[in-house]
Amino acid sequence: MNTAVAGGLLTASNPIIPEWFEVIWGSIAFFLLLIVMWKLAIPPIRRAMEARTERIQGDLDDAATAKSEAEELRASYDARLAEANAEAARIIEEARAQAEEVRQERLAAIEPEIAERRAQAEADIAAARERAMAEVRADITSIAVGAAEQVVMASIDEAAHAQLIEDYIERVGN
Amino acid sequence: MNFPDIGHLLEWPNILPGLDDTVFALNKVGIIYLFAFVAPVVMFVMAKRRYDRAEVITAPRGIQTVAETSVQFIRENIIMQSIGPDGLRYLPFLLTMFFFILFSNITEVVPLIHFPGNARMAMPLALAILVWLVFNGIGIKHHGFFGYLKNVVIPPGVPKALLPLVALIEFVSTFFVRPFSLAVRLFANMLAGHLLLVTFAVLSHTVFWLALTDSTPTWLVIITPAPFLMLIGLTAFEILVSVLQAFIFTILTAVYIGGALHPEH
Amino acid sequence: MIELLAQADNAVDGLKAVGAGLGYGLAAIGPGVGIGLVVGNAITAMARQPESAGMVRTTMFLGIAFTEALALIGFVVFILLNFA
Repeated sequence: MNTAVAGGLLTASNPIIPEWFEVIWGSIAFFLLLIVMWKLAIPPIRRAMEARTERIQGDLDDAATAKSEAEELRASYDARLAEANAEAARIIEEARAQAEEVRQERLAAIEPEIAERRAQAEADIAAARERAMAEVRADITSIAVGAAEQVVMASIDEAAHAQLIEDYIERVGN
Repeated sequence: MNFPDIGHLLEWPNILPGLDDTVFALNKVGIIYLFAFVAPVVMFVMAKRRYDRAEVITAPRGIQTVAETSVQFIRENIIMQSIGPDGLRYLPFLLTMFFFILFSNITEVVPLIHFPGNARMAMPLALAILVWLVFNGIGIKHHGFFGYLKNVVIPPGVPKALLPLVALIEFVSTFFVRPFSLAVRLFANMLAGHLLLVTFAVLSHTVFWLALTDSTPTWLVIITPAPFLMLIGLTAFEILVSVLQAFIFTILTAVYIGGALHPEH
Repeated sequence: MIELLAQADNAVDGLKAVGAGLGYGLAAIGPGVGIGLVVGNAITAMARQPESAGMVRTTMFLGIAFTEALALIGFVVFILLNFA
């Protein structure tokens, strides 16, 4: 097949074989691009990217440092807080122990007095009772003797009456 | 349907007066290559101006993002994976290669240009030869001529009986198949893409004019938009192919350089 | 194809065209299967280990590139036979 030659078309008919002038222009373009890239374009971009990487890394490092510092600070605060809590608990416990001790002491101090007073009171009661008993007994005896006299005025012998009175007193005494 | 002649699709007249048939004749393909030089330069110069202006380091913006992303992409996804940290000195070379191929490919879908520079064998072949020189040069520089030759033809862990066969295959594949397939892959991909787009464009055109004729059957009128929709889809596909071919050419270059530097891998 | 045959001056051109078409078709079979295998296995690998998807994708593109080269050589032969 004949390729079109009209209109100033070049006559190379094989599409596989490269045209020299195309190779020339392509190579010129490629090597110019290579030089521009190598010498002008890429170094500043690489520098900027590296600088940015460094800066971001630096920022990240700073943030990490700040964070660890904050952590430390928090840990120390926590420790101090715990210490204060423990201190407060200790103080309260101590105060409670002291109060208990004082209470025990006071109780111990007041115990003999109470016992003494109680004994005193019991003795007083016993004495009063004894006294009352004796009075009652004396009164009853005299009343009984008086009553008996009036009864005995009539007849019965002394012995039997005495016996009766004794029994009576005995009963009353109990 | 009149499919244009292949020479009409691929060969362009010289525009510089008096230079017809000389080595400095400039045609559309040459202009596309010059565009592939100018476009990345404009991009990087715009990015560079921001660095020069900014006293403090700022977050990247606009075109600067594209420039930095591409540098980052070449560095992390191509060099680090294929060569290693000692390949970082080839970053400008690989970045240039990537952008040059990308911009001379992408003209395939740019309105009013519609021709991929790499659908001509010129630059694929020239770049493949350049890559061949570069990776062999690096291998010879690092291991000496015979050391490099030994690294190439004797892969580690091959049984002795198979060695002559493997050595022959490795020799041919490294020194002949590599540049050949590198050039042909790029060239044929772009040429095939271009022919595909041309086919569907011509088809759309033909079907459209047919639909305007009274004698055309109704079913043909109904399917009129179909080739055009296909053309749109293929255009999107060709954008993908353009980027992918630039990426593949670049990463293969990196792999070959890596193989020349570290033959043990 | 029929147009091409009609245009051919003699039987050799027609045979060239037939050979080119058949050659490209045959050259596309192997790479078609091959790319299918490459991508399928890459997807399996990515599904099993999503964290290594980036590396697998790069390697997948490399594999596709190597496999595809065969089909493209077939395409170049097609162009050569038809237009050279």
